[in-house]
Amino acid sequence: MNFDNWTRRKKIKLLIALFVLVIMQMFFAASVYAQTFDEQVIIDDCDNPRFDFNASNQFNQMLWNCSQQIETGGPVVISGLKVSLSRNTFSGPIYAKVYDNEGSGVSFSQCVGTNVNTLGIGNIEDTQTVIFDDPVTLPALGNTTNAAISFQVDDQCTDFIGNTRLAGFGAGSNNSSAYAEIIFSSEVDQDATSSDDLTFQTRFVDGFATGTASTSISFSIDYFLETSEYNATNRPDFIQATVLANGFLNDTQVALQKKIILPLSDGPATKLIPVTHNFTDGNYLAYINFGNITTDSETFTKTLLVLDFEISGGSVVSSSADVFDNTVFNPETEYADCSIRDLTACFTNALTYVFVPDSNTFTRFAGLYTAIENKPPFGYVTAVKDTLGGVNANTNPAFDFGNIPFISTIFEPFKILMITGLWIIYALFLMGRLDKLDI
Amino acid sequence: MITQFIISILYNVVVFIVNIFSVLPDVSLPAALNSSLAAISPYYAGLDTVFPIGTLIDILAVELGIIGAYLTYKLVRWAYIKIPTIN
Repeated sequence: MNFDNWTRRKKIKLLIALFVLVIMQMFFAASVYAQTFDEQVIIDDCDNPRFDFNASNQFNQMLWNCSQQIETGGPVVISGLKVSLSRNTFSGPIYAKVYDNEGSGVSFSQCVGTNVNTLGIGNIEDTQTVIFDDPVTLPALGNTTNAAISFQVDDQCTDFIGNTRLAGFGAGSNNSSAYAEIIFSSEVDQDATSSDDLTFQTRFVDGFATGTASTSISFSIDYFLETSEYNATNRPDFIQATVLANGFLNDTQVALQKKIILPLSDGPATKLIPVTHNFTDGNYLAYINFGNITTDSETFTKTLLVLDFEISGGSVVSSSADVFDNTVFNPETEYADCSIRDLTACFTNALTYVFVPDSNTFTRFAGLYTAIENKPPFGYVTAVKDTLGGVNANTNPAFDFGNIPFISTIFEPFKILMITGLWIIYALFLMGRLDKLDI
Repeated sequence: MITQFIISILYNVVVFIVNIFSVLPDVSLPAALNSSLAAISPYYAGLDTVFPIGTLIDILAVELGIIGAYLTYKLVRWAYIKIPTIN
């Protein structure tokens, strides 16, 4: 094939076709290998740790020195630390203490979340969760300063006692800038007998379904997101639950979407999402998304909770939750284990490396429109949409088809068809234009 | 790697185009047009239930974007061929 004889137009068309093919295969690869990587995302996501590690097991196996930037400049404030204790040898209250230089000094130690009454005196027989609502404030750190947060079981806030130290992580600062990091380091006293069975979290999303009537269930969502995800200027605005029967999309999906506006809180919180529907006995999945109404994106950053629940005899009889990461494909962290006994994983890794882009590759496109949404000529379209939508929100419509019973059920499928058809027609029109484009 | 490279090229092209538009001043609709839209808004809301007018507006926005990109390309190319010794 002699490319020299090709016109420039033909070459560019070939390039566009290749690009479309690459995009198509990428989505194909995503669907094929999604299951392979999902589990690893939960365990080894060092870049976005969930701190959902068991001290006796995964702390020993995890990579040390994974770090995460939590705040830029100034003092570091960490709140909403969550500790689950499931060992029955604990007795007495628990204190969270902050030490500088890995506990060698107590110059800015402070006790937070005294939970004498919460934990009670005596053995803990079942798993109990303690959330330290009070923020832990680490002072602005020097270039070489390290700090540690440690938990100890004690009945008073006294000096550090080494063998009761349970777990910890460090906060330090970069030599060249002032940002602080949560650093996973070997702060855990592996010899401490009470370190067994400790779960240590700072970022969590959990939930369960509950309900005793088949027409009404609720999702109790317990969440606390990372500081960078949840603050006054960058925070999710709502939680949305989407219920699917038997794990598949069906015609009830739209009716079962429920959006709850989040409270303006930076701390850990529990939110109930009531869903009213005539549920029949069976298995259901509920996807819980954190969303932001100020952007075009319906899904906020990386958090997606999947609740699997069963309704039998009109009541929720079982419920379990899994946290998934929406950024499923991050080649930096999501390679499968490649070995001589698992060559499939090696090929998978190779394909992933070559064809699967970093998730940030796409997410950075999202912010581009914001820069031009008010500029001509796009600003006029934005203004029209805002005016139509904004006025509608505060106006009583002269007539509103939406208030007619069953109108959504009747027109929604047609509307979806029309939306699909309009985009297909426009795509065909665009392809015709592309063919005649003079470049 | 390959996909990421191609998408990165595309991203930088888009950023270049966006940067050109971003220096323009913000625009808003004339007051008369605003009030007209406000007047038809209730009817729009009702009609949008059965016909996706919002999709048409989205398509218009995409079309404007493509036209903008094409005109930018023509403008850059026009300036490019003005450079002496080229072509």
